Amino acid sequence: MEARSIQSGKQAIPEISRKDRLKRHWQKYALIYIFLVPILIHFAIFQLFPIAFSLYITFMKWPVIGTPEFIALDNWKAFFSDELAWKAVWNTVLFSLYYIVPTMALGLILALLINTEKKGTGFFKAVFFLPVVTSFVIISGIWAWLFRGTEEGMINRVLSVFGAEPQLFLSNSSQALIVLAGLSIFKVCGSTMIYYYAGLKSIPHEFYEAAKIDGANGWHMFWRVTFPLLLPIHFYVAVITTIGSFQIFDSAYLLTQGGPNHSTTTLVYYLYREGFTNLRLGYASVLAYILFFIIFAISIIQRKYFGKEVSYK
Amino acid sequence: MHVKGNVVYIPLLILGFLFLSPFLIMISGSIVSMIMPVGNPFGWVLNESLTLSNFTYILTNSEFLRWIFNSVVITFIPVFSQMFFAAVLGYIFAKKQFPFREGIFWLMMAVIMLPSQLLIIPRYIMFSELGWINTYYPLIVPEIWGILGVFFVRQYMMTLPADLEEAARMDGAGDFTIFFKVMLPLAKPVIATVGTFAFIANWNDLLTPLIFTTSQEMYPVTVGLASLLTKEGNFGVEMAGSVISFIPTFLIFLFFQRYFVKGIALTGMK
Amino acid sequence: MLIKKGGFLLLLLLLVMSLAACSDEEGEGAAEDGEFGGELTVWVHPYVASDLKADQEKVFADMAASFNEQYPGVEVNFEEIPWANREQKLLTALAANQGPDVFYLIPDMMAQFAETGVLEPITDYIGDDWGQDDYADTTLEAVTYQGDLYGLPILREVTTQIYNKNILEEVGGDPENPPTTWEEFNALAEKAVDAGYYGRSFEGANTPNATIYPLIWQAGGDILSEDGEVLINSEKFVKAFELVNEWYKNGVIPPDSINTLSHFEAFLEGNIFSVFGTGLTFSSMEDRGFTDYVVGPPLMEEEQATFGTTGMFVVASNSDNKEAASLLVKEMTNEEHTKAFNTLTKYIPPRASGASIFEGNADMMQLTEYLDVTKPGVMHPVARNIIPLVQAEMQAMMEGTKTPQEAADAAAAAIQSEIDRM
Repeated sequence: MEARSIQSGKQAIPEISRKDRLKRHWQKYALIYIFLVPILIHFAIFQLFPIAFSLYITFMKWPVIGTPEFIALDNWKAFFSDELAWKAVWNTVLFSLYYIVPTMALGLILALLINTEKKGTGFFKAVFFLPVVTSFVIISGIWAWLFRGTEEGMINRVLSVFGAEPQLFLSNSSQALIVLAGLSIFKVCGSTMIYYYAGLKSIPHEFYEAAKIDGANGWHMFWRVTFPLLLPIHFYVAVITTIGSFQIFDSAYLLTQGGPNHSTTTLVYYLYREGFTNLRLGYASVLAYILFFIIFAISIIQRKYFGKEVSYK
Repeated sequence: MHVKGNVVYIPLLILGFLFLSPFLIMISGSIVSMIMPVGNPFGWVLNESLTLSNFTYILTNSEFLRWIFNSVVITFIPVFSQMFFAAVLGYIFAKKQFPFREGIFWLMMAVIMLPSQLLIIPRYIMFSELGWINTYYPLIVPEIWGILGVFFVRQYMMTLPADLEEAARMDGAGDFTIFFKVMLPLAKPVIATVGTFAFIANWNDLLTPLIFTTSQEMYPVTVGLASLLTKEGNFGVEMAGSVISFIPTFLIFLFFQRYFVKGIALTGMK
Repeated sequence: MLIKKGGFLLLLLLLVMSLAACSDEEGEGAAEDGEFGGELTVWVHPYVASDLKADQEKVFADMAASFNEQYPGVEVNFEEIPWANREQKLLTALAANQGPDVFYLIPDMMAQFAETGVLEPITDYIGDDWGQDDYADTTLEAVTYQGDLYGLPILREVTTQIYNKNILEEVGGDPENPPTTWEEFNALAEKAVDAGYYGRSFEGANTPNATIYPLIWQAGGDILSEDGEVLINSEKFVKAFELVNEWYKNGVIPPDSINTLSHFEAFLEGNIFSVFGTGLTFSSMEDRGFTDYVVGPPLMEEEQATFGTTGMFVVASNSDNKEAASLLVKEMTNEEHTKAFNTLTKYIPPRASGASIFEGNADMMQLTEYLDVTKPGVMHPVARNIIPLVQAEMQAMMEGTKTPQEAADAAAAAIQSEIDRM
């Protein structure tokens, strides 16, 4: 009996403290169990699993109907001999060239204008930002009308005022991509403006004061002080516009259906067509990986060459 | 930076006009009845007879209201849930100590480096096996939280001094009280930013619903409007549809505009 | 913690996989002593505007009723599916074994579906009394794939030249005798160009069925031979490319022909001499109050030919009751129901006996005369895949970066590589 009670007493102490520990553990980690753990499960199902699965699909001939068939590297090999895929990659690169620098430059100019803090700049800031929140579908509808390839087209009428010949725009394989880039510039530069505006706000006044004492005028001040100090913003904006430009799809789908002569068949548009029109899900997954490799490589390069941290302090 | 004089208004007005004119064309095109109007869009309003027939046409001859409703469903559920999860996960990753905290966070961040198009095909196969094609699920369930929003809130909360939390803990507050009473109110602007970003991303998305919805009754307004653009061939009707689908965006923009600027500035963008 | 997570992830994968594996399959009654039971699901589409929806439902209900007179044990359900993305929706449903028993297809989709094995040949189920002689050869061609009948036709379309009457008279054409050959057409079209109009519509972003294919047939050529040999760069084919090239260079077709989806507005506004249109074009013109038009025959160079789709009902190979489904298709497409369907939808009845519904409608009567020369498009599983490829080469030629011969060769190569990848 003695021994037993001692035993039970011995047991009782850790039991209470375990309960206590559990309680404390729960108090400390309750938020994590309730919110983080379900999100991790969600993350595994809707992000990690599809990523692993998509790699698996690239090794398969995966028709929508019928049994998937293992074909090893055939889809990957097909990519290397698929001229249209390379053209899609090239079109996407070309689109970026037309799009990135103008978007950044225009965004910076708009930011400088509203940063003058004159009366009414708040209104203009809203106006410049409006296209960002508007869907591609709406802007594309207006764009199609503006850039009609006949003499009655709005832009052609404007051009004719300056004595220029009517242009074909979306029916011209060297102009169509530029028209699409113009649409994206119009749509996105409002957000680069906001980034630059925040950057401009964070430049300490002393820098301008110091430059002023050195006798710099506005032009010099911009190139010697403002522009270099915005380097982290340039980097950030460059990365996000580049990544965005490689995913261009909406306007190619809505305005040109990839034409004329494949000139607006971008990588994502081609992926969509191969996957969901031609029903080759395996091959379309390869194209998705190609897109990923390109974006990844660009991020690395940008980080290496342009990503030098600049500190204001 | 201060510029002397009012010379800055010249470029502002020119650019402002250029940026606004597509919207003005949209509005004026929607209230005149022309199949393919030519000429000066600003003249239409003056010279043509104005009509609402384009609007009545689109509301009676397409399922436009249904599309708006679908868009509301697939936008607002993710928006509110993303705001909530951004707040709570942002707090957890910024302030709580637990094993593998950084590892988990950066793994999640690494995954957004992957283009979303990579996920579309495996998800298409998954969802068609689950019978989710042409339902709201594929457009809502994967979107209930987003790592970018979590990142925004985390960055912001990391800048808050530890004393804040310490003081509350001294008063006997637990995690929940601290989160809801102290952190959440402070993070409101960032959370509003997360919400506005989520709204725009979901309301305007075209590719995802294009793939996952197959019937007209399930289209969101982007896909519906796109189907009108490619088949209607009537400019006035297209513009009327654009105006209707633009109104919600515009309202959200009008009321929450400042959160974009504030939110982006707050996150420091390091 | 991570290890636990890993285990959990694995579990989840298993869960998803097992969910994927068990797609529900409903066993339905099969034939017993020649009697049928069970259920048949038919997917149909909105063939009419939404205000006529009830009428369309009645047409289908009548089909079911007369089928039930013979086979009272079968329950027939019609489900209306929207047009958009129907291909994707059908495939997804059929793959998950949740699809219909009977559904609607057009010829090039039929070839693609038949090749995948989701369609059941109905030749053996329907007997000999389905009225073979009532159909034009081109109609039967459209529902046959590799020698087997895969469906029966319910509707036909005919695309032909429609002229602006005023312009036709202005350039000295005879409204009673519109052009019949390339030569006659070109002569008038060039005069129209001189008078400041465009000669015809040419919607380069549209399917080649509406642009270059009919010209190829008119020149006496074809896109693919019956056994899948690529004919696109044959001499006759190139001739069609050359014609388009000439038209484009001479302004017979508008400058934005390269990549536009619609020239119809410009026609309605009186800027274009002629459009390539169907029966639906008549009703669009009527809606917009455009009455001064003349319907001309499909043109010819070596032979008269044009494009027009054939709508048909087919039977799914995973239907549990293929014989009953085939007999239902036969019932739905008999003379009575074909007439009722096309009277409502304003398509052309594929049966010669159905033409009577157009008495008093000269335009539609005229279209039925062209059924014999109306081709269903390319009947090959790659037909839909090659559309953007052919478009692109045609666009390259119109832009002047390729000669007609080069464009035809490149199109042939692209089609061949698409066939090789099947």
